Parts: sequence; C-alpha cells; structure tokens
Amino acid sequence: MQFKSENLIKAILLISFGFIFTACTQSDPNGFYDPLEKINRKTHSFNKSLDKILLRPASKVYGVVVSDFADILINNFTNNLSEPSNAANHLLQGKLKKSSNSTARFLVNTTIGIGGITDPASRLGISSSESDFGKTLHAWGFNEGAYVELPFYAASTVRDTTGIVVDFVMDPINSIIPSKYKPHTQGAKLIELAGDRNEYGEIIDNMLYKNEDSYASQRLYYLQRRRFDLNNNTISDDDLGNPYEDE
Amino acid sequence: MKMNKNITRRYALGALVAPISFFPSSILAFSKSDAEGLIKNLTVDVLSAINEQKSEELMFSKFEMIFSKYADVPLIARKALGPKWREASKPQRTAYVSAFRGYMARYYGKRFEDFLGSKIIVLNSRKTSGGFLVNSDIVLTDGSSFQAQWHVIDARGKFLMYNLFLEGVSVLSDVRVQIGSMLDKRGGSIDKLTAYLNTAA
Repeated sequence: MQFKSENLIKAILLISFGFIFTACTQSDPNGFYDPLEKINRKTHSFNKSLDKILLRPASKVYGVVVSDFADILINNFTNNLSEPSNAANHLLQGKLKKSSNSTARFLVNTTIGIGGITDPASRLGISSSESDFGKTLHAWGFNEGAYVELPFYAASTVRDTTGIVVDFVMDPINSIIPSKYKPHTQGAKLIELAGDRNEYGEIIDNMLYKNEDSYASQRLYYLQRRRFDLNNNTISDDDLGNPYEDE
Repeated sequence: MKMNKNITRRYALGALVAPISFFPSSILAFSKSDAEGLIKNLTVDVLSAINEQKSEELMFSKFEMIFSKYADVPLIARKALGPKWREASKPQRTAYVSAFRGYMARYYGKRFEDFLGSKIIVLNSRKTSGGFLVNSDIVLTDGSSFQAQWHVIDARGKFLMYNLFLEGVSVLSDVRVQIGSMLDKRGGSIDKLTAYLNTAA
C-alpha cells in the first residue's frame, strides 16, 4: 500500500478542487442543500430509466441464476477487494485499530480465504468496517456540500463525489493486483452491483416506483442514512427536531 | 428568540383545537423505563399483527388501532402537513387527521410486512429534550439486522411515539415528503389531499 508520488499529487489536486466546491456551500444539518435540483431531477429520470431497462432486469436474472451460496462468494470477493482502500482511509482518519483490522482481513482472506471468496477473518474475530474517502473528508472537517445525483451512480454529495474520484484514482488495490486481472475484478464489481440491486430489490422498487416523489425520497434516504453512518450510528437532537415547535 | 410569540400561538392553537392541543413540559412525567416499555408493547403488537397473516385489510386496521393507542397521530399528521396546517379550517383539519390515520396505518403496514417472522429487541434509551429516544434492533429471519430508533415524547401528559428512524432515516420526514408531493400535485388543496389520502398507501 504505497502511494506513488504521482498519485499523491493527483490526490492533493482533487482535494483542493473538492475544497473549493465545499467551501463555497453552506450545508444546513437538518435540511438539504440542493441548488442543482433542476439538473439532478433530470439525471434522476435518466437513472430511473436505466434502472428500469438495465439494472432491474439484470438483478432479476442475478436472483434466478446466482445461488445464495455463489452470492456469498461474490460478495466476499468484492468486499475483500475494497479492504486495502478501507485500510488506507481508516489510516487517513487516524483510526489505527480499524486500519490494521482491514489490513489483517485483506491478508488473511486473500491467502487462507482463497483469494477472498471466503471470509475466515470474520471467524477469527477480525471485524470488518467499511470506509471511503468521503468519510475521510468528513473526518477532516469538510462540509457535505450540495446534493448531487450522478449519472449511473445515483445519490451523492459534492464531498462524497470527491471521495469517489479519489478512491477510484488512489485505490491501493491497483498497485497490489497485477493489471492483467483488472477486467476480472471490475467484472466482479459490476456483477455485485446487480447482486446488491437484487438484495435490496423491494426497498429500491418501493422508493423508485411506488413513492409519490422518488427523487425527493432518494435524496432523503441517501442524506439521512449517510449522516447517520458518519455520526457513528447516532441520532442527534437536531435530527429529532422539535415536536412542539410551530411551523 | 421568537419564543414568546411561539408559545402564545401554541396555546392559542391548543385552545382552538382541543384534541390536537399539547403542552410543552419542562419536567418529564415519565421515565426511561416507561419509554422502553411503551416501545416493547408497541413492537409486540406490531409483530403479532404482521405474523397473524390475515388479509392485508385486517392488518391495516390492526395497525390503525395500534397507532391510536401508542402514537401521537394528530401531531404526526400535523407535522407531516407542515405550514399548510395553519391555513386549514377546523373541519378540514379534522377530516385530514382522520384520513391520515388510515394512510399512516397503510404506510407503516406496507413497510412492516417485510418484517414477517423477525424479532425486535429493545436495547436502551437516552433522554432527549421533551422525551426519549429508544434504541432497538430489528433482526430479520435471515439473521441480518438493522437499527430502529423510536422517538417517544410527552404528549399532553401521556407518553406516545412520535417518530421512527430506520437506519437513521426519519419516517416522519419521509411521510412529509410524500404528503408534500401529493399536495403539490393537487394544487395545494387540502380537501383534494384528504380525499386522496383515504385511498393512498
């Protein structure tokens, strides 16, 4: 997990780029900062039609073709691929224990776990915890920034989008796995996407196709879920609101 | 800042609409164990309504009874409507709250159907201003679990459920989004909204 100096420069550029964006925006902790709503709604209907014609049918095929057992193997494999990135991000957030856990998980599961398709690390009591560069930016004090719906990628914020780009460019897995295997790992991630869509099928169907305003629902689910995650699964008094307050 | 004005308005409103009035109390009339007990009883009733596996209609009417007993439905209805509430006349408010009762039962009913066979474990709670937040885990039949947090408030001296957070997502906020969108689609007419709510899920 060495960062090449070239990658480091890229990261610094991206971070400063992200900072410009997030610094200009003010985010209300209770509400949503959505100045791009017009464009976002267009992207939303694009994503929705993409889901309808591509992802949703693919997930149905996945549900039929892939057995529960194979589903677990695919899940393990893609989870294992993200451990180096988890380790790096935990480290950047100063979470040394979590970082060493992710590293240990990667080492154990890649070797004893047959390239990551099984998860002996969990049985050894090395717990997993996911992280990403969006969380790192949060830990460093960056604001959430505006809500954005990304084409092909769905809900995000300016901060999380910056995180996605940095994670993509800097992913330590790229320097660990020989490049000839890259199509395999990318392929597995794509299949996993259909798997996830299948797993959360009903929840996503409800959100996209049954709710009155699927755009507003998705924005709410994404932002509140993400904030909950960033706040170590706690709900603050701000989130509770004031039931006695007049509007 | 606008504290006094708000309080005056609140009391004025309380006097106007007796069943929906409420009084903020600085001293809580109920304890941690009361709040946890309420959620334990509520979840037992909810799970039995789901697991009975009778018709959907029956389940929804059970849910409506459960919420009437354990939740502050008039306040939730009011909060879901937002500022529009102030414009509504008394009969409009009554009709809206009554339609909302059924809507809320169907809304929760549809989402709780997936919890068939699951367990809800009440873990602990913490004090918040004006109430408690009760932590629980919902454990599904496949072993996966997620967190549900119940906001219990002091409602006119009675303690009642006000909101539920599923993995951090506020159900009240979600209902508010849905109601807001229904209202927009009906040109802001409360009467049309109420008529629609009687059938919406």
